[in-house]
Amino acid sequence: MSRIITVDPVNRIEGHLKIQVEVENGKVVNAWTSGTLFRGLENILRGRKSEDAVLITQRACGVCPIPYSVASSKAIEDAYGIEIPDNARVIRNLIQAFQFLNSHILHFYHLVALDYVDPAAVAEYKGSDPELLDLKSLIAAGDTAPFTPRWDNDFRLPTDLNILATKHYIDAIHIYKRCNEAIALLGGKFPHAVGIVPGGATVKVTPTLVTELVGYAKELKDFCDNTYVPDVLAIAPYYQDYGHIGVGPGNFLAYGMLEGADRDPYNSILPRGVIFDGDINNVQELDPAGFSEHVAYSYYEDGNPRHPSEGETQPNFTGVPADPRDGGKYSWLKAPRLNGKPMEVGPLARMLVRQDAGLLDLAAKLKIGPSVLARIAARALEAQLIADHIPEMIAELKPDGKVACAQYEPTSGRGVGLDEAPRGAIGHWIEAEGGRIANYQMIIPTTWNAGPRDAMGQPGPYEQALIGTEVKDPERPIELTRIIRSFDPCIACAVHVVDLEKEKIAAKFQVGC
Amino acid sequence: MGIGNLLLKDDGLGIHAIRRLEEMGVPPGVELIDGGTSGLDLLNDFGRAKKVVVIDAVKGGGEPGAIYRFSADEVHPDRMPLTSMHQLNLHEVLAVAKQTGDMPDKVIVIGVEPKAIEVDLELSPEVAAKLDRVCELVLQEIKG
Repeated sequence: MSRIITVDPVNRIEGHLKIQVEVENGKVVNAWTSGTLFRGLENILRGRKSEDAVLITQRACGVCPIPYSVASSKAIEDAYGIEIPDNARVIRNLIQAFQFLNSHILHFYHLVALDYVDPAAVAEYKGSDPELLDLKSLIAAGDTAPFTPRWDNDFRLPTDLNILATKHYIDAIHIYKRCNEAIALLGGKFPHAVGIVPGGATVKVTPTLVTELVGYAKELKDFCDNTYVPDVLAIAPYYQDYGHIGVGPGNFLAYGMLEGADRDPYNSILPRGVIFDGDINNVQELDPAGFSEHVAYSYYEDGNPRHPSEGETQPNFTGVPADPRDGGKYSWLKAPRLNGKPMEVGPLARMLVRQDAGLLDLAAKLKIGPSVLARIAARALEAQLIADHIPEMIAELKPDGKVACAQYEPTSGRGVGLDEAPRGAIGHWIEAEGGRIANYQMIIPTTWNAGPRDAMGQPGPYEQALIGTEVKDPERPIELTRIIRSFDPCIACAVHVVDLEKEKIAAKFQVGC
Repeated sequence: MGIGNLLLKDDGLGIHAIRRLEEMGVPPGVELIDGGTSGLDLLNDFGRAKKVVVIDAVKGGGEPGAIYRFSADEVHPDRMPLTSMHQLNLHEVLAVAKQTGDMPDKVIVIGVEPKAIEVDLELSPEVAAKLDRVCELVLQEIKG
């Protein structure tokens, strides 16, 4: 006997995602993940000035706009042969560093932890922390937002650890706000910064800016060292089985980020590289000709797999399959492949490609492999690594030095911009004619991770991570959401509509025209 | 504060309104914020304001272009869609703001019923026609 379980949408993620699994004898035997909103951003860009891509593509993402501005600026610079000054490289590294800390801290405390930590434990709090006492009274009054909805069938932490982690949930918000301030200092505003442009950056490097950044760096390093990483390490042993759940394809891809003065992505703090077939100590070079995007199971006009530099975006919605087992198209995401293989991207991929000793030691100590737990741990250790390096990045800034190249002439050409978003490798490909966009394609991290089957029928990384999982309670399949959430999904089309329909009292609020 | 996704037609209403207000000008002490779609990122701005007027697309069941006004505490969180398409919806962000002391004295939402939410940088004609009225209502809130 098999049955289909559907989770739609998966909540506490960015964007809209549906997962379906076929469960037989309590075990997932097949899985389908669908991005359910059409992304036609590339079509909006065609015919516009190339520089518009920097501002427009940022709007695709609700939580990590900065990597879009970096990747699109790099693509344009590559197309036009623009060199950026060293200060601009450092500013981009710094703004990315703060963006990653913002995103990783938010992801752990505000999106992931609620699958493992039970804030309801605060009802038993007996101390005097005013924020926890506030929370205690809210919970007593039955007001549990924003911790709900959730499945509460598998909480394992002792009460004191639940309370501590809940206290840190609140502390993390204060820290998160500090990240936003640092990004705004470097990018002019936040969200959707305007300070990263083709040719460099726009912020003036002053001694005051440097001093302010030093303050933020200290605070963030302190939080990573004394709160974030210790919390992950304290919680991990209670969920050690998740060190073998949600394994994934065993193929990892990182474009690399935080380049040094030599601009060599293989020599970056987080270097470029690929790993295939679970051979996690064998890091190879990336072959940029090896990319292809498949649409056999995606809602686009059929065609041979294409390299993104030649990519097309021609929608062809063929309906939602009544039963995913019947086959046919089922996702708005394309299925990107490298050398024909589905690739996992994100902190685990980056830290494995880096062969990060801290992560490898921890995995050996906990006896875990690529998994839910490994992804969460890699994200925390990566945040700490980035925070450790921020002071030396700040020291590289040259006050009053050039931050952008001299004026350039937008001409014609093809370019590629490869960088990293908190969720993984991000690539933009541009073809420009006379300063205008003739074609623009992006492969964003979640397309790598959440994409559907390819022309060969190989499931995508999420799908592979789900297959084989034991589901204890089909009505509350928390194993599945824990797996998906460990990747930090972002379907990158956040719609922000206040929905009053459920209120059925909308007329009460209508005002005259 | 305009919120929404500029790439998704009527969902971008809040951002279009902020741009219009920038052209019109606002009294001193008032800040216009393009909040995008970033949920919790808005806490910084909530935290330093006495009153926030949020401009957003609102599905209230009226005709496309219908305008709504309500204060954040008039709509109970339980009646909001619990599985927001966004990382955290406005109510969840406000619930967090209460926890962290970032809650302004007053949060007013001025919304317009969307006609279409699809990939497009322009508003639909029905919603675009209400932009001036929305800005007028926002200015009234600022004075009130």
